[in-house]
Amino acid sequence: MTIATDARLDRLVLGTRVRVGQPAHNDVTDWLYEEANFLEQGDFEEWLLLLDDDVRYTAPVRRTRLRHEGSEFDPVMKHYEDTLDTLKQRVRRLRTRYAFAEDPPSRTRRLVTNIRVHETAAPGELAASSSLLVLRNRLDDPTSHLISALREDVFVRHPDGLKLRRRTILLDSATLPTHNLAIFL
Amino acid sequence: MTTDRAILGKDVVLSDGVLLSELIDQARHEVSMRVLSDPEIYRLEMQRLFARTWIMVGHETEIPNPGDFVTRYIGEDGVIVVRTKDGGIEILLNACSHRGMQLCRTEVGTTAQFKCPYHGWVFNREGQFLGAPFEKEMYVDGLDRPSLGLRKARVETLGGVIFGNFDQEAPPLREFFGDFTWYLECILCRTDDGLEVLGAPQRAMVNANWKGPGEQGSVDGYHTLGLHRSMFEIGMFGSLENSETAGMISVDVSANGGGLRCIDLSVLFQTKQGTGATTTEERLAQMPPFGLTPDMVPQLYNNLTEGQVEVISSYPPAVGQAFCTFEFLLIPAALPDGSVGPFLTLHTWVPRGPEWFEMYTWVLVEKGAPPELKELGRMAALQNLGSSGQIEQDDGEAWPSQTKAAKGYIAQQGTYKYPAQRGHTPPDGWPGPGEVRYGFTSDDGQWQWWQRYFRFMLGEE
Repeated sequence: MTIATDARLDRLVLGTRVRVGQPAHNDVTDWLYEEANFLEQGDFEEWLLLLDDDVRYTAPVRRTRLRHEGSEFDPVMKHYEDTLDTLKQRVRRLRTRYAFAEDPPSRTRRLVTNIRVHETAAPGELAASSSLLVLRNRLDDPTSHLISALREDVFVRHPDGLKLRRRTILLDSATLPTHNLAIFL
Repeated sequence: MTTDRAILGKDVVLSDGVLLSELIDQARHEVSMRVLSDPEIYRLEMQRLFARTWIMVGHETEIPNPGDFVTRYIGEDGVIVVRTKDGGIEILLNACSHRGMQLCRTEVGTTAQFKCPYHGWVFNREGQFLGAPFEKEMYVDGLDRPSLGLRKARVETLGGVIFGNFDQEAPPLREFFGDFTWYLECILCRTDDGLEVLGAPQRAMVNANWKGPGEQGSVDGYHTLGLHRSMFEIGMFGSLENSETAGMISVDVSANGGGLRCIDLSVLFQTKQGTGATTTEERLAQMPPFGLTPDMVPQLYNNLTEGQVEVISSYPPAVGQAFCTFEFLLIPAALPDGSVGPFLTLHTWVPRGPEWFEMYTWVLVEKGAPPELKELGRMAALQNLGSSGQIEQDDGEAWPSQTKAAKGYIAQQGTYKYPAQRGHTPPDGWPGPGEVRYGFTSDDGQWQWWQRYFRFMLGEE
């Protein structure tokens, strides 16, 4: 393959583990809860303010493989491959009155757990993984789509708090259980 | 055992006494909404359509080396698409001939042979039965070995795209696509090195019948300004000030149930503001085809006819579908930084019951293109098409909505309407085959998709 990508292949070198209850762990947890709230409420502009200018937001395609065959995540093909510019454009589209995929909007509930935080080699940078369960309920369908993933995030410290520099969304599904990803994960 | 020939030439009496043939109104160009997701009709589709037509299952570059395989679907039948020792491709039914467990439960891999996890029967990459554990002790009377091979589909490729057909008596692929083949070549067969798939396909379950995207694909130009209006609003589809840039004027082609739209570049070249390019060579020099660099342009002549190159230079075939579920989109798309990413996206719609289908999305680029152009294409494709694509997100809202509405008893007495019929009105000197229309988009292509759908369903083809 000729395409340079990141996925989880170029993993960070993790430094000291930041334990639950330590200030940096609290900062990350608080950030993730704030984010979940903004996305549940549809406050996308507020959400964008949580992102670093160089944010890379990706969700690799997953393929079922045998254990010994290595990573299930495709290094090239993604569901999401976004920068701050493209995420802003997605939000701009959602704000037109013609973004039918999310208007009327899905009702999403975002359960964020199992938050693990590490320092990295770069000062002020934190790596965090968290489990995400999104219940996506749409229109009058009584059944919610269940979207679950492990998220691997990298945060950098700005004067006004943590910002997300990298997010890799490692979906648990090889086949998406929902018709599209018109929502952010 | 081959496909049941007894269905040929036979109408179907549905359980309430209605004839299947009554569900299309030839004079009014209407199709009953009952057809969309009726479970009885769905079962007939498996027999009369998916077991008898050429279905796209992947691209050659997904399985470059002997033993490489991917698992896919033809209708609801799981299949293994495998590269054989001699470099050929086989499509094997993914069900052990012994007790029917899936031989492959993974989506991708490399193997010398297929061994069933259940009892251990083994098959080679050509689908032949190789042996069973304790064969002498277990089968004291011996096994009828030749009969135990895996059921195989016929395999053909076009531009590296792999198609399978379980009907051993069906016409060859190019004959099945007929005049539409000429245009598929304009999309898939442009360069010496051919296309290259970028990784694995996206897969997503959509709560809609497969015919939602099926009839849309062949090809609904009219919905662009409605369903995709948000893309105009944010400036990604050009301005809304005149209908040319709003994408409603095009050369639409229909043939053999396939339909496609060709982008009209005449505005660019021929108007007062245009560049004045009058020959094919001048046009190609000023604007190389989507996804090709200027130095790749001469390759067009190695692979295509002069007529095909002429069409690519002035009305590039862009978006459409070959009957019945193979969709392609060869378009350039702008990224927020102003760069333009050209890409080819392929889809197939896999039926998953009357009210569900699975959407597969591949992104491809020309293998000979430079890495930067491939990366631009990949980025632009993921912004616009597939699971998170800003264009196709909204299609994913329309198809479930159609299926939901079609469940109503009263709704099923209604029809889908295709009265905008324009026939054959090509630009002067159009070199390509098929029925061709220049001007405002129309319903012809989708109507012809339904025509061929009913020919298969009524056993007339």
